[in-house]
Amino acid sequence: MSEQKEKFADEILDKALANYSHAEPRLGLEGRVLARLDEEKQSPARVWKWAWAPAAAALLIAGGLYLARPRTQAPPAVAEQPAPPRTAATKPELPPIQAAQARPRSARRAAPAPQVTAAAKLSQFPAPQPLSEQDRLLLAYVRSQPQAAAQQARTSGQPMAEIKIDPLEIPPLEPDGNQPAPER
Amino acid sequence: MAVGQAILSEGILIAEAGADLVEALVREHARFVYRVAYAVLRNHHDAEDAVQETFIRVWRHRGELRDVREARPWLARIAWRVAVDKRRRPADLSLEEQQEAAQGVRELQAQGAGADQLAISAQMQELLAALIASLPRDLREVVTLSTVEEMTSAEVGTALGIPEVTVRTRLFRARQLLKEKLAAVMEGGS
Repeated sequence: MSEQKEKFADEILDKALANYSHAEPRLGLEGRVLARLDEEKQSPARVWKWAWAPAAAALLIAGGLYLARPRTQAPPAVAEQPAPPRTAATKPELPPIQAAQARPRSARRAAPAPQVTAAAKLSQFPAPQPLSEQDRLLLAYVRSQPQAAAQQARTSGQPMAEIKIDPLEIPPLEPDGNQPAPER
Repeated sequence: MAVGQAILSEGILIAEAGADLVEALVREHARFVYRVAYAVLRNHHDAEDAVQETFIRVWRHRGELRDVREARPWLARIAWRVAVDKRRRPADLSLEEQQEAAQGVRELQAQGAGADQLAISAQMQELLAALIASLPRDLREVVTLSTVEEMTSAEVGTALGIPEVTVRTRLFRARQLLKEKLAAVMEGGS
């Protein structure tokens, strides 16, 4: 390839590449995109897509409550068994000196008496409490699904519509057997 | 109860802030996203569809917007993927299409068209699209994004997930190949 042709090709390539992606959209592109986004925000499919979220949040909260419940130690079950006969063989007998040494006096004296101290007065009432398990779960849910949580928060405060029941009308019974035909 | 309300209020604020941010991105970068899509799709209608799809994806991931440091390459990356997924025809054009485009350029040249006139002609743009499509994929991606006028090599690298040095190297190789092919076409070869 001659130098002149190479230079010509180089020049054309530069200019053609500069023009390659120079495209202007139709007027109002931003408006059309924003309108499409509004549709997306209000799409019922999107709402149903997250319909599982409240159920999942409820499950998480229930699980958290279950794990965080206070665990009291149940007293050991006592099976009703016949008491073993008290015989001399079963009753351990210690020598008199050993029995006296089984629990030294000093140990008994050393047991500390419970002391009651006045609680320090807090500067703020009520005192700030750490987040509960439910609060932490709710926080995690809100951070992961802010839109769904916001939607629920908005709708939860709305009062329910009153239920209306039409008055019941019962036609009187005719003594001669000519009862009116039931209305369909 | 008060804690729960505070948490919900924070969630509402986050959601609204995310929505505002997406709207700002649309207003500021819609045209840029359009050009990225057009560079791949070469069709106005498809490019606009790709822009819509890109911003819907952004909307769905608006919770991550706070972590995005540079919006332009991030948007370019999404738009690139959307456009590549959307491209109907295979990247490599048929030999027949390339020859048709080359014939159009040769006819213009024979009529005495200068470099400027040739470069902006539809025939040359069609030929260039065919030549770019015939490049290996790694070179094609770099040269296509580099033609979007506002994109720097660093932004192309961020969008494609490759270092800037690699972008420059590939761009150099791509231009060499394109120049050779173009010169051959203009001389009358295939």
